[in-house]
Amino acid sequence: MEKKLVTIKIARNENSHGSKTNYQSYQIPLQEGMSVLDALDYIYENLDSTISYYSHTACKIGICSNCTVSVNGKVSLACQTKVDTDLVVEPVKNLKVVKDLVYLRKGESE
Amino acid sequence: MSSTLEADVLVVGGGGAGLRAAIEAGDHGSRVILISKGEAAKCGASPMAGADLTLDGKSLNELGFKGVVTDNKEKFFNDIITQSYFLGNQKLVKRYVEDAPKVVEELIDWGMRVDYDEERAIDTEGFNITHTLLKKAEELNVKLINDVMFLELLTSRGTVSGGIGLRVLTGEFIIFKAKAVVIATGGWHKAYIYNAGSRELAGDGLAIAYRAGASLGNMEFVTFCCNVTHWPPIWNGSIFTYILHSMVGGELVNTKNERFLDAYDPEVVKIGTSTEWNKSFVSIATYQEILNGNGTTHSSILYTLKGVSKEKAFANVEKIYPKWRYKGTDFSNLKDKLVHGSGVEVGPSAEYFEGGIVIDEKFSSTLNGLFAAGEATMSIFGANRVVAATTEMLVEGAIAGGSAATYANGKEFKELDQNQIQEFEKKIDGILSRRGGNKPSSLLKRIQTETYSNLGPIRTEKGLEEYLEFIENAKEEYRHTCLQDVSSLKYNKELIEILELENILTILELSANAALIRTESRGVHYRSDIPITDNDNWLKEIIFKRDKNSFKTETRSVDFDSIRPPEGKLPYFDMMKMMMKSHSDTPGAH
Ligand SMILES: Cc1cc2nc3c(=O)[nH]c(=O)nc-3n(C[C@H](O)[C@H](O)[C@H](O)COP(=O)(O)OP(=O)(O)OC[C@H]3O[C@@H](n4cnc5c(N)ncnc54)[C@H](O)[C@@H]3O)c2cc1C
Repeated sequence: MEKKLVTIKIARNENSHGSKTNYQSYQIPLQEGMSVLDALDYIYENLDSTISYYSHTACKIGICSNCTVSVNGKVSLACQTKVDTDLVVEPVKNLKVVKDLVYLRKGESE
Repeated sequence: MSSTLEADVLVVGGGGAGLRAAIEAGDHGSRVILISKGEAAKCGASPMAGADLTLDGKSLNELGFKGVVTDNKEKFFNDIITQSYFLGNQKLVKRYVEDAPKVVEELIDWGMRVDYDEERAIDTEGFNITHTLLKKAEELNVKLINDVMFLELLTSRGTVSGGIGLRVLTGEFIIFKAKAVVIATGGWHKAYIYNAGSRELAGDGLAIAYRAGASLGNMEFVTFCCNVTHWPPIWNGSIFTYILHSMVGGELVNTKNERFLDAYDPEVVKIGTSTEWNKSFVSIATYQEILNGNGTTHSSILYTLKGVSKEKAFANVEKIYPKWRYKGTDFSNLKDKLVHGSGVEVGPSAEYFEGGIVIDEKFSSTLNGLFAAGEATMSIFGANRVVAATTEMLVEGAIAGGSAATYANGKEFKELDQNQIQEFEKKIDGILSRRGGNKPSSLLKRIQTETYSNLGPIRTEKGLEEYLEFIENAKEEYRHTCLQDVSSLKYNKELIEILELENILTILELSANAALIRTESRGVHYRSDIPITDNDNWLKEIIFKRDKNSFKTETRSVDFDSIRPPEGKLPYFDMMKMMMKSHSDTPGAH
């Protein structure tokens, strides 16, 4: 059976100072019970290993909150948000972006 | 190189052991820096833990909890040592038993919430432990630096002088000058395709200490938590199903719908499913079933609630986990799967690593100025841990932090060896200039799969030999592995992974060698080709030390200061049963 494809559109941003965000879209096969973090991993492993999303540490059980991103405009934990349709993934608004989906936590400086 | 920072004591790791060590060193008046690969108190295994904190029932009772008054420190000690298959470090387990009430009481004084109590434990959440510690560390002016990956130790004439780290967000390197360093970097969960740990746990601290000259031991012993969810991906790695099975029971069946545990001695099954013995017994039995071809494609068997009174079970579950929420995960769909569906796919996942840095009674390593605590140490629990690793990290963190502070006190900073810094820069330049090789993620995936198959709950000589060949090839491939994007080191995930891979490969080679050398089955090390526990020849520890590009192996006998093991050789499951039956009269899971 052909797997359903979904499009994940990701904000790509190298430096946050007023520069306009670029978006890049990736098509991935939808897997049942897949999280946004799984989708980002799929893209990183198979399509584009240059994307940055905070994932070098991750509890994957919804407690550390380090994978927080904006999914279709809503602040969400990437590891606990299911993928079942096309999505736009962006860094959390109003925080300083380091690169792509990685940003500084409240009160942190580089 | 960018900045240089100075500390009397540099603590590496922001889990329970690192935080506790930093508090102790701070309390001794040291200037302390704690670096953490993620955000301190929110990374590592510690915040993910259940978590129970164990101590003997009598002391527990004296602290005002339920506890079993007929229990005492001696019984607790004896049970820990027997269940360690007599490889436990008797001097240090004595210290664990002695210090446990103190470190637990102190945490409660510092504001930690207690959720409920058991015969030999109190229960809270890992997150509460780490956040209580974090607050205390901040009060003591410990300087916390998050998102720094420690990469290398620096030494001057065989003594620790500092180290080098990478700020993962900015891609800048930092040099640390330190009089003493405490490694508290936890385990190497990342090496396993199925693991219950946090993602950054890649054995970095062990590999770094080993490269700098410290010895590592007990590397063959890896605890797999049984009944961890393997599928669907969003639940993969969660121990909720393990907890559920311990709490309300249920059935574990293979893909032919057979209760595969029925093939084992009923007494072993009873104790082996209702106490902490489940980690070794159920994990081995499950993996055997998978090897027999009766598992799912996700190295799993199936867990259902057949035979359980659902109303009662659900009421119990919902009392502790309202709406079937465990930690931050919504398991409300699981209920349907357990009752109506064919069950949920569960199996053994790497959870706790007995192997680590060899330490003495002060938690000083074999390298001058280097200390270690928590899961990163060569476990005091020998071949099998059945009591809390949370209590372990607190007891050991406190000792290591105190020893490091005492060691640093009155010492001058050592001159940094510029050659070592240049060597390091050369290594990084080398990585950044590679072109045309494989991506690190591709190599990592293969390593994770092979490691789970060959260095998992069941090992054989043939499997290990083939695996070591695989590791040799992987080391060669690693030398060509490269980053796709070298234009910026800002949160460069591939750079982090390449740096981790070097450590993972170092650790796995040692672990597999130890598993091959130990020609018996003991505790969580089960060799299906030699299913015998051999007390005549193997009441010994295997220790490794680096020797240029290879390693030296040493076996060390265990001191039996207080209790002596039975002599002879016994089939593994008979020995397991004997150990189970020798447990003191104190009831409960531990
Ligand atoms: C899911 C789960 C549940 C558990 N439940 C229980 C339980 O209920 N009871 C119990 O007793 N035990 C439990 N354990 C085991 C217990 O949690 C751990 O053994 C214990 O927390 C280890 O503490 P630690 O501080 O030594 O290591 P960790 O908590 O793992 O911390 C390691 C720290 O080192 C950091 N680090 C790693 N590498 C580097 C580097 N290169 N540079 C800088 N920092 C680095 C990490 O980011 C992290 O901050 C559980 C384990 C897991 C995985």
